[in-house]
Amino acid sequence: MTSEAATVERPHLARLAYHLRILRVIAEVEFKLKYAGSVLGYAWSIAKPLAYFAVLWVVFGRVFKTGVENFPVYLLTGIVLYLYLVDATGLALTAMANRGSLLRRLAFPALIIPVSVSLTALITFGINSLVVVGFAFASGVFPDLGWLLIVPLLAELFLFTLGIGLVLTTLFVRFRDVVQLWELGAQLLLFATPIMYPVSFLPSWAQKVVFVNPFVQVLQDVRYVIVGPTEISATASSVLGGPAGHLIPIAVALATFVFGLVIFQREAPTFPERV
Amino acid sequence: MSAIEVREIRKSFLIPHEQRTMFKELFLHPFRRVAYERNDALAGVSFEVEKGEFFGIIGPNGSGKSTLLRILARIYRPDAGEVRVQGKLSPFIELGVGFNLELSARDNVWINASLLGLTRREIADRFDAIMEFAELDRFVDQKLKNFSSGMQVRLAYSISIQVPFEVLLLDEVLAVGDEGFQEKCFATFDEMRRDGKTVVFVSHDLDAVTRFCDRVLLLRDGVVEALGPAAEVVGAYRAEEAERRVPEASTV
Repeated sequence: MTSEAATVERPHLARLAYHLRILRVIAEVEFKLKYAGSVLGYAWSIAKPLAYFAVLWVVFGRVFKTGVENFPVYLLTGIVLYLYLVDATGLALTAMANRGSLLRRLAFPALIIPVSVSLTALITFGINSLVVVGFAFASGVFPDLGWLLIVPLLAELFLFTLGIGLVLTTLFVRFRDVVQLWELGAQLLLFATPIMYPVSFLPSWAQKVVFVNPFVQVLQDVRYVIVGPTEISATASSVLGGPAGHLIPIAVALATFVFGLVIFQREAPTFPERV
Repeated sequence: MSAIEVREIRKSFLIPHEQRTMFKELFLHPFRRVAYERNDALAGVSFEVEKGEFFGIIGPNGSGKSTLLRILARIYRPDAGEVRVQGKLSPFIELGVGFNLELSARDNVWINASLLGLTRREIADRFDAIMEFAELDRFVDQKLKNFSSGMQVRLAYSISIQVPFEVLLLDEVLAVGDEGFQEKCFATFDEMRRDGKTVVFVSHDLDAVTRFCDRVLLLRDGVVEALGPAAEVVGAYRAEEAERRVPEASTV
């Protein structure tokens, strides 16, 4: 009864509440389906970053001989953030094409779908973050007020990945080989960004290039916040020339989000008939 | 007062002859034009549905019935024309939206009912009533894939009648389900009628259409062929179809 009364009094609020419920359902179902029926269940989500970590630590930990304190925390932070980026964009990629039946049978804003699956990726990321925190504690790194900075940094990364996801899912409705391009891109990103090696390993021109990528800026900022200043904690400010340089990748992230939103919304009215 | 007003609705779909679904092709032949076939699903359809009316839409396959319903539900955008709906429109046109075979009946009730607009609390309050009406109380935690298609439809219908609405659009709800359950559905139809709900109802079940609908619209090739009292339009449609079938049968 209350919801009906609300509909009459505040139709817009009731509508928004309804759309948020759809958002929640799609995100939770996606998450449930991913792990339901598998023996390890949610443990799978943790197994992936740990497997990456084990291999990269054994192989590259020695190659780069960073000798830096807390390198394991540094490395694991990078892996977990990278897997979030891949998970969020990968889920968004097929999101529209996979939900054709929903789009053709229910009237609701299409944008809810990619946003939902981005939230699913965020849930998985949240679970993985617990591993990072556990690792940090074990290495004697404890949270301080500075860790609060992680929240806006993750918000920036969320908008950036959502922007990429919106572009990918719009393209995928038309071109099915976007998957191959995305796989290649994700694979290259793992090697082209300082996840397993320190920033200083790159020549200085390449450092400037990678820091235009918001992912690298967020990655290095989060590491800086968690591990503190070390010889491998280059940030956008130090590479791109001061605080103003820090704004470059942030602007790229916001521009990516706006661009994704615009092209998605332009195509949205025709999704029900095309997917 | 009319609940639904439809004026000169047009909708066509472009179907590419050779679907260019790969980026690769775009790079290899960037200037090759893709040939399209135009399919005019709706070519100027107008009608009105009165408040509290049971309105049927019939017609052969591919006549544009589902497209029309999707436009009324604001799922598709018409190319031209106007649609006006007065009153709270139910957000769905088919049963079982969002059903997932890998999840339990309990989960699916929550998914479907949420998509149809109920809050968590409303779903919890109505959960027992839903399972009881569907006669599936014993299978609450079974996965939906273990349900027969009839059981799935029963569950879907039971959820849909819990959703408050003033205008309901339904696409082929009676296709599956045994006779006993169909009678139960018919009872809820009678109830909707008594409550003064407006229902637009697409079906191939002409007996049900005649029994419940006040007026019926016959759609053929995207245009209104007939619109009038249910018995009249259904009768004409039956006669026409029979006539079409006879020459076909003689050539076989």
